[in-house]
Amino acid sequence: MMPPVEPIPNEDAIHRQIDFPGMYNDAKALIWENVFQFPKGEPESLVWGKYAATADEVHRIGCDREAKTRQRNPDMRYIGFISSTAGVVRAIKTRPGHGFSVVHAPAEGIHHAAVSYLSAGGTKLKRNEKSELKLALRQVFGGLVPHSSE
Amino acid sequence: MSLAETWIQITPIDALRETSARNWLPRWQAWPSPASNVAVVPGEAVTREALQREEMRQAMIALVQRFAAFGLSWRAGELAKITPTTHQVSEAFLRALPAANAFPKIAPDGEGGLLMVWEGADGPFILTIDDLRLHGVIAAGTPNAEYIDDVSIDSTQVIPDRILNAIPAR
Repeated sequence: MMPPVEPIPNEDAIHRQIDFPGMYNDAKALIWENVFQFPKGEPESLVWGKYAATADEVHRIGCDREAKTRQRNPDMRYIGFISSTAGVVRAIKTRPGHGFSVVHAPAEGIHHAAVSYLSAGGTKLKRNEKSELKLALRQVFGGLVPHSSE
Repeated sequence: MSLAETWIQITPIDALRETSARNWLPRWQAWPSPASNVAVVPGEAVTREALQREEMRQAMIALVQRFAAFGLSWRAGELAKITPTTHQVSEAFLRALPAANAFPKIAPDGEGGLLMVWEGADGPFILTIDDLRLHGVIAAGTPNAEYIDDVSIDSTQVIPDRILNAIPAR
């Protein structure tokens, strides 16, 4: 049975776990960290700090996920996480008024949350508006808290 | 394409010797390519700085090739590739980027396009290459953001003036 969906308060921490394929290690300096890609407009996954209160707990969730991921993609590595708060993400507004929603999405685990585009007036986002949102979202998350094995 | 093949492109020797023997779509063969050999950088002395810049250009082109062949994501799941057309346009764009302009950081956008990001004094300039269309934001994420929508490219001008003017100098 799926846990109930809870409201995420603005002051709560949210974390984005980051994987990185080893084949790109030598090119990192050339790569822009587009850590939120929203493939096909789908939401992106977060870890809600309420259910992972310490860095070790966030890492443990990341390591568990990595073990499953590597069964189909052996090159993928969990390298750590970046953090923000739900309120800071919800406060993002680009000049046309687009932003994000942050909601609890416990189907993938009670710690799981999701961030989605929230367009002004429900309009269809243009490609450059999506790119700006991705940049704005990355900017409100801090630096990488590296996984100790890295 | 193997991973090793993508790195064959990056040596400075190749950057200078290689003529455009790549498998371009025919109508793009005429696009200007200042990096394909020294003869197409008229008047520019082959200084150490110029060689380093061409080496960087080749490394970026090799990276674009990897994005097309293997994809890249920061989260478990399918690696996001760029489309074949985006790949070729991106490569042409990088070859045409004038020496006066900075190189961007790049990444797949997750929808088949390529993101290019420059940090400028007035805020970032973001360019999305989406097959044969370009979409830009000047001063992205600031109250002064300016949007460049759906600019078409063609074989006569790889980098339209409106885009070129927005790219920060190096």
